[in-house]
Amino acid sequence: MSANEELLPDFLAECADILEKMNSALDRLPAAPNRSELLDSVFRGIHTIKGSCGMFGFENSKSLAHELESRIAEFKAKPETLGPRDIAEIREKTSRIENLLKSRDRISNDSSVSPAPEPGAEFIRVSVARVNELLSGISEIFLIRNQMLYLFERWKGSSQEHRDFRQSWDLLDSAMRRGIGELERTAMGMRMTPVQGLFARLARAVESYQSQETGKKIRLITEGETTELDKKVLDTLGEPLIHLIRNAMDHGIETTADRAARHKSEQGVIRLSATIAGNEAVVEIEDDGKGIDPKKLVAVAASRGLDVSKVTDEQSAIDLIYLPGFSTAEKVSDVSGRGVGMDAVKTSVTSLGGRIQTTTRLGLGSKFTIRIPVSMSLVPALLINVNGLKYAIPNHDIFDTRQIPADQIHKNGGRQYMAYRDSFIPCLDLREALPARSDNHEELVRECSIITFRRDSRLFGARVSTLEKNTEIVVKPLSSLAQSAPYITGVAVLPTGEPVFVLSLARIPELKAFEGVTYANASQAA
Amino acid sequence: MPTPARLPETAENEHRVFLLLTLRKAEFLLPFDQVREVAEFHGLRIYPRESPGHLGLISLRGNVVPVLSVGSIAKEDDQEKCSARRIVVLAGPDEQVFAILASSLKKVALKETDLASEGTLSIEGRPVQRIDSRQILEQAGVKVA
Repeated sequence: MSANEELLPDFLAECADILEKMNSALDRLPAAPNRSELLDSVFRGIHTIKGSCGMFGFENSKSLAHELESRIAEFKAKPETLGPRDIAEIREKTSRIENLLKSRDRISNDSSVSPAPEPGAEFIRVSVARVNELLSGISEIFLIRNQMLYLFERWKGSSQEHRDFRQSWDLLDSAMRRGIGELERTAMGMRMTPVQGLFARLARAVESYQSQETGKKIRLITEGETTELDKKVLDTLGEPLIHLIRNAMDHGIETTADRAARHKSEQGVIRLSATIAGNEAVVEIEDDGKGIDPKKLVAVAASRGLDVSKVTDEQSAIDLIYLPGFSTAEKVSDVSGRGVGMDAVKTSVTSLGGRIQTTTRLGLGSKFTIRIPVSMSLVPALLINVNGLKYAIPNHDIFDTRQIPADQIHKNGGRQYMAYRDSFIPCLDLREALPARSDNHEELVRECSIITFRRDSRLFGARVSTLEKNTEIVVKPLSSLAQSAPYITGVAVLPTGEPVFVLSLARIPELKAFEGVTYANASQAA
Repeated sequence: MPTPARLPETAENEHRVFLLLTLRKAEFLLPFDQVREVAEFHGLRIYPRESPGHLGLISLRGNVVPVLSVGSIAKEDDQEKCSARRIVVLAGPDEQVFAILASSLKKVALKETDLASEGTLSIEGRPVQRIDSRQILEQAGVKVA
């Protein structure tokens, strides 16, 4: 089976998913108060389908998608002109694309063509929802086990009978803990898929680009294809990565002539990698092209009426690319530059609880680093106390913990720093930023409890009231009715029945109380 | 033998069941069919940042449930947590599960005719405010379909 044939089912499933979302957006369009947002989503969908059809050589579908994309682009510019007939026309074209895809791009009068059955009798299809139900059941068992343990801990006794019972209990408990752990890993594994398929799709995008007359030579180097990510993460990352690759090819890598003039090798290189680092999946796309000119970005943003008042340095200038509607493409190309922008990429990444970082060197290339938290249901965590309230911090977020004398914390203006090895790092006092229990009395202490953590490559300290104990927690998502904050990744229930918030240390510097503590102030002591 | 025809129940005779909820000095009437569960209140976990209409979280048999303020409807929110003894778990219009606090509860059945007026009713000579889960959610800034 060729790589193309192998990826065809994924491609068709993805297109079906996009078309379903487009149809849902079209349903809502007539009564929508803000049509631009829905038109943007329809536009992004058809843009992706067009690009993917190109990769699979589905020329009929691609051509129809291009036609539809241009039509939607007109309405994007003037949403008020979109009438019921136009929506019907868009629907009709969407339906034709759907039928074309079902017939593997063959033009046919028979609209009832169904996809060919897929081989692979040794597999069964299980919905992600059912796997999640299984995981939820495992978590419940784990919580009950913790509560039983808590009850048992409260039963004190010193008799021989008690000691024997305790010994047997401990043996059974550790067996149960192991069993739950194995069950959890197996169930989690069911949701995991290697990035290989997605990488192959991206490789096809590069191959397809090379077949056009672009005057460029590009080599794609991939690393970490066996890295496994949650299926939801892979599905969501597909579109953003395609866009990043297209941007790298279209706007990053120079023509062979330009590269030769700059004494670079004729062939541009795009590196695509995936790895798991701690609790994060890290996906990087790096090119050795022309890089991004921050000054040009600021000028373009200003000329388009975007807010550039917050640009204070090179990094904040580069981050302008994530503003909605920002695009420096001077012409619309078949590959990218239709304004399907980096804002959509950022939105997809943040919807997964992740973040994207751009580093660039003018004339040398750019790197986009996407970090997504890895899903786990049973998480080893440290319980901390801040102002009389408990919080849980996943162990993988922690660099180290320490007790330091109070006089090792130094104030400079309104900020605190702590001595760490041979330098100082910012010390964020969580007691000042998080609320207090009404009956909390903070005692004067000679020693401060500190957790150090990394955010990107920088090291920070977080001061808490006390470090309590290591435990294992089941992280549950917060209800949509609950008040969330970027630094809260979920909630866990302790064996006592007490709910605790799970903090993401990497997001702590975003707390309002720590505004102004920038990376520039952070030492690279780590 | 023919069964005698049953007299049709008139609208005046129909009763609806409510939960009469007391929170300090305010009383509220809540449709009973929106109540999922009533439990003892043993305290709640406050949010790291305050938000009007949102009191915190409780754990009910391992399930974490957000607690919304009903006191804010009657401007009684200052002491809401202190006076509460009960937790009332409710289901919203979109089946969202949340809880509210109460100092005391009573199940009451009222005739349709007694419910003719919207808003505040008089029960045993006391003003009682009619509320429902939608109103509580909206008060907390939650968009309800």
